Amino acid sequence: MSGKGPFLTLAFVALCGAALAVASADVSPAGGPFDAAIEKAQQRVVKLYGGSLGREKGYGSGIVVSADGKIVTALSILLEGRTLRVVLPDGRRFPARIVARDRHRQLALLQIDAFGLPCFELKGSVHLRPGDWLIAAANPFKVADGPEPVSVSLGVLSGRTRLAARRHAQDFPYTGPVLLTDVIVATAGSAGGALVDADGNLVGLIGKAVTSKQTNTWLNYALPVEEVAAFLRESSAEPGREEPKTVGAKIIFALPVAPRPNLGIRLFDVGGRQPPPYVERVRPDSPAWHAGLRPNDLILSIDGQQVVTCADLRKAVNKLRPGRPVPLVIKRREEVVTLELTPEEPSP
Amino acid sequence: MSASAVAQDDDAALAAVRADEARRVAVFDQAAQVVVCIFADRELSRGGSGVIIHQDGYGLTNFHVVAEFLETRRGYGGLADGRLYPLRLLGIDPGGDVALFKLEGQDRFDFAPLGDSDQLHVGQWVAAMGNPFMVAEDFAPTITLGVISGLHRYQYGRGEEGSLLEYADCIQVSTSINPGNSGGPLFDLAGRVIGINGRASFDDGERRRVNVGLGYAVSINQIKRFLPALRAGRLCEHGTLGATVQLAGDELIFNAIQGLSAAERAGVQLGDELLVLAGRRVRTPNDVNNILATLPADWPVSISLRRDGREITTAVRLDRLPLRMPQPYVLDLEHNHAEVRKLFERYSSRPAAEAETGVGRPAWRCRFTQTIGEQTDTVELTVSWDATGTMRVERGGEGLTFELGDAVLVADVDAAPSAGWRNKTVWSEWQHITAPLLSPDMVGLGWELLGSDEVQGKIASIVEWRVADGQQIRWAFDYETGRLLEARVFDARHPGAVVWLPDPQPAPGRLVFPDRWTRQTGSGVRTVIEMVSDVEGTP
Repeated sequence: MSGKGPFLTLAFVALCGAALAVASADVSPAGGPFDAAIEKAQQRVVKLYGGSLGREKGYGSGIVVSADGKIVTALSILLEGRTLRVVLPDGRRFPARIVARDRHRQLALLQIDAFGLPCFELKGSVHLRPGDWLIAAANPFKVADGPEPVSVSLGVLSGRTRLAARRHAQDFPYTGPVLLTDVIVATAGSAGGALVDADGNLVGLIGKAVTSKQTNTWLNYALPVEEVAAFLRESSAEPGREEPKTVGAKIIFALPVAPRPNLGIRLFDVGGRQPPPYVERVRPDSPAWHAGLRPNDLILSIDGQQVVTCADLRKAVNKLRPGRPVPLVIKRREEVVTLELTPEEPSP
Repeated sequence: MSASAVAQDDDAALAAVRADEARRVAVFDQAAQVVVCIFADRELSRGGSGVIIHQDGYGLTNFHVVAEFLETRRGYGGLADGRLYPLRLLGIDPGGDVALFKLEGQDRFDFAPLGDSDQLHVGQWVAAMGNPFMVAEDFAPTITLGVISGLHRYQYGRGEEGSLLEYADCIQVSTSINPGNSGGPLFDLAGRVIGINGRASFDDGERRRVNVGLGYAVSINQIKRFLPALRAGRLCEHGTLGATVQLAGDELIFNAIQGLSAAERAGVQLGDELLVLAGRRVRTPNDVNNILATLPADWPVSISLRRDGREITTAVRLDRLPLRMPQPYVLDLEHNHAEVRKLFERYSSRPAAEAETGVGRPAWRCRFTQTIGEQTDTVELTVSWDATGTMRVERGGEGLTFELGDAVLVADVDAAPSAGWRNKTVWSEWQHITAPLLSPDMVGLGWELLGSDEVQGKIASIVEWRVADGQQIRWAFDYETGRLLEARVFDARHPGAVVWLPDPQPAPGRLVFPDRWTRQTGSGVRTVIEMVSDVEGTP
């Protein structure tokens, strides 16, 4: 229609007069300075799903430390469930078994049957100075599902200290060095996630949510990567090392969950300094199951020995001889019932 | 490198950081001017946040913020200028937790431009603004800075079917989001609104409801699809396929399909593998939720399936997801008509071209072309209007006369196409379609802004005029540019819509009356009306 005027030339009131000026486009680039680090971290952090108990959530995070499926995470209730499932960043799911635990550092080493995984190199964290950028990659509140990338959060290294902390009413066993950050990582599901530097190198493993003994506030901290490496060395599971080494005093392999000898029960042992021995779960076909024990029963005495706390019960059970029936007195609702229980050999 | 060179480098880096910060401060300072502190009452005791997105004072917030005053539809909004303005609630989207309001008391408001939330990336800086814990006595918003922690997140809704306040395909941020931030904007560093902050994860039970670094914002691209309906003052509804999928291995399989549902109408069968939905590759049931929950009811979607090794692509309009509201949300017709007028006024704004607009304009020479099959027939003729709005079409002494409102729209749609330019239906339709573009004041009874639709791949505002019994015209305007995309003529007695397509506008932004119109019928008759010049020969 060039050269021919429009039928009606109509004016139009500009609508953009008062629009806020949009800053030049370079402030929102297609790629940000942390993109590579974020992607590297997200490809090496896994989602964990396991048991839950009370306030303890049945999900968490972990870091891949070897291409052949070794994963480090924080020790927690979620590892004690009937099943433990790992979801890789690509969405693949694997059952995991616990290879080693470190009661002091509160770490666990898991193994899945996968190969060729992207994994973190365990270098060091000493290069970091307070104020340096840190990126947290973890799955708090299990926001990410399946193949969805885990959550990332950005902050700085606030400082280093030795941990003096409490978890609920109990003292937290780890008292070694930690990295402190302003990234909020003391959240459900974050424990076991990665703290990486601006280049995506692992500098720490996000620890279990604990409160400071001094200030009673939640601590945002990570175990330095050096401690993770030390755990792997001690559990002779360092990537690339073939020869199993002597197991350090702090490492206990495949500790059974139930007290030994095996009764086949799990106690409601969480929170409080001296939890009474309430039964949380009874494994079918176990000695406790055959004795007629049920969840929510409170154990009063075993083999004539009165038990007040979970710890008392464990001590008493350790004295029992497999194969010999013993009386078990329990309180079920308002009733006191006596059962007969025959302990089994401890499970391997 | 010498010590002085290092020092120079440091200086340069520091200067860059300072310049960056200065720019950020300037952007946020401007952005803060359009953030609204929303209150349910004059005691300023309950409320949330919002953001102005249009010069007329239209603003976005969360539905759960305005749910407090759903009955009166009146609240208050405080701006950073320290003043409190009356606030009127317009459309609501309870499913998506979004509401549109209008601030009153000023002719023009500053407003924030909308960004494109499909262009975001994880790790990018973002700022949330609003009134957390209602701390702003002077209505100056609180600004919190953080990064995008995750994209395409899905957070379950509330209510019986989980269809209320569902956050699908939402933006997860590390930015502090606290009670009171609800409804406030999430800005990128260019000051564009990329989302509306509305939810956060809290360590409920163990700690208080305070930020622990996980906030969620409704993505602005989802909101854009509902904006025309929100502007219309409607209760928005979301779409559903009426079918569910489950993962079998790594295949997404349809495992349930409701009778008469959208999925069934689309020809989906049990066991079909879902590959692509609405243009996005889907891998998990969450992906499917993320797409569907962000689309309005009746929205057109394409579906790609695999069945017996064959790939099938089909398309359908979504069903309505049941939405249970305590009371019906009544449409404010007066407001709705005003919105319709605004759409047409952009084509006829006065006073610049007053002489040429409205009824009683001079006659124009038009070229009329009709194509039926291989045969094309072109004639030149004169079109004129008189002061009463009556249109006259003449050629060589022969003429047709129409009065607007004559219910002749498609009355002789079956007349022989060979009638050519003497086909009254064509002229009557054209007159009805163009009349409100020339005289927006005619909008009144029988008119309605229906809401949103996708037309020619664009988000469109749909206006309907029930011309006569069973006869309707629907105009589709591009929401972003205001450009008329098409007009459709419906007749209950003659199914099969007639589409009128105006020529694309030459210059972006500036809307002029299209000088070329193409009419297409279901039976393949194509008619073109081109305005050539006025009768004096002035182009």
